[in-house]
Amino acid sequence: MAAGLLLNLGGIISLVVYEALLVLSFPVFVISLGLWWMARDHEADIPFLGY
Amino acid sequence: MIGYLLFAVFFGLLLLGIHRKVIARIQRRPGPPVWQEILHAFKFSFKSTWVPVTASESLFVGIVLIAIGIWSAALFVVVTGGSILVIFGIYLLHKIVEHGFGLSSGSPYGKFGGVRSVISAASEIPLFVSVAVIALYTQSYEVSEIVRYQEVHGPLLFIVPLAAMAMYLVVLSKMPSGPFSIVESKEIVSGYKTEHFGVWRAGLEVTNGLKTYVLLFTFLALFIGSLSIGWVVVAMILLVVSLAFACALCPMLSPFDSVTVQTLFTLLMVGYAAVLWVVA
Repeated sequence: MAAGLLLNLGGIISLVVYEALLVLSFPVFVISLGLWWMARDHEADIPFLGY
Repeated sequence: MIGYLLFAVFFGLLLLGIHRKVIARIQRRPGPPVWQEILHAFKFSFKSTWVPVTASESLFVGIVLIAIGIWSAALFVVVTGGSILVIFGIYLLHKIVEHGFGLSSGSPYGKFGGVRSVISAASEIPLFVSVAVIALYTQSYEVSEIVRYQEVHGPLLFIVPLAAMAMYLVVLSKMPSGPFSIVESKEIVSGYKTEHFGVWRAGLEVTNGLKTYVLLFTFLALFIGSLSIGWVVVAMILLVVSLAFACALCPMLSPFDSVTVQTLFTLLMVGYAAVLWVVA
């Protein structure tokens, strides 16, 4: 995302290309950030099937 | 653009918090603080996260990425004055995403939620009529040209109020705790979201924030026209408060009744569009 911003500010890529880069990178950024700072890992569990 | 994207996420979540707060106050409950949805997004992202053993791993994770991606794209399309057909294409794509969320986990509650999201596709039909009426008057599908039309002729809200009401109904069907929120009904736990916990749910919260902002922004652009960012904020809060009143005062309909009401409204809208077409 930062690279896209710099390339756009430098006039190397157009706004549309920058937006396309954001659409691709923002979801990965959100999930990666969460997986990086989340609490410790856990074994896989069975789904919730009711009380 | 990255700044605007983050603003849309957090302001969209704040709007959802205001929505919850107003519903609670109407029902004489204190309710959560208005920033609760933002705290939820952070809270879920800190939680221990894994993929359930019965889930399809690639779909379970991939669908979260797709959900955030399509609403990011929708935001860029609407703020740059792109085609409303693309925005509404993304809106319909969201139905498939909800379905994917529900089916990916292997949970029966998720599957019920996914199936209900397909049933509730009836809520999108008034949208087509709304778009057709707008195009009839403005001769364009571009948001930028529709906004320009309103600068000359005044807001479409006063020219074609029923088309605005149709889109309002569509936005209402996307709000939580509303009369048409059958995909998240409590008898199926959290519907399609049931098994997406921790970081995956945080991703879903980001999607919800973006989706709320995009839908309200689209409504304002199509029926009010060009507004400064300050007025956009004020108008969105007013819209959310009105939606909260509708959600608080109307009971959640059964899936059958929800589809029936939306289909009846669609028929009304088709008649309205036909009359306008003949008159125009």
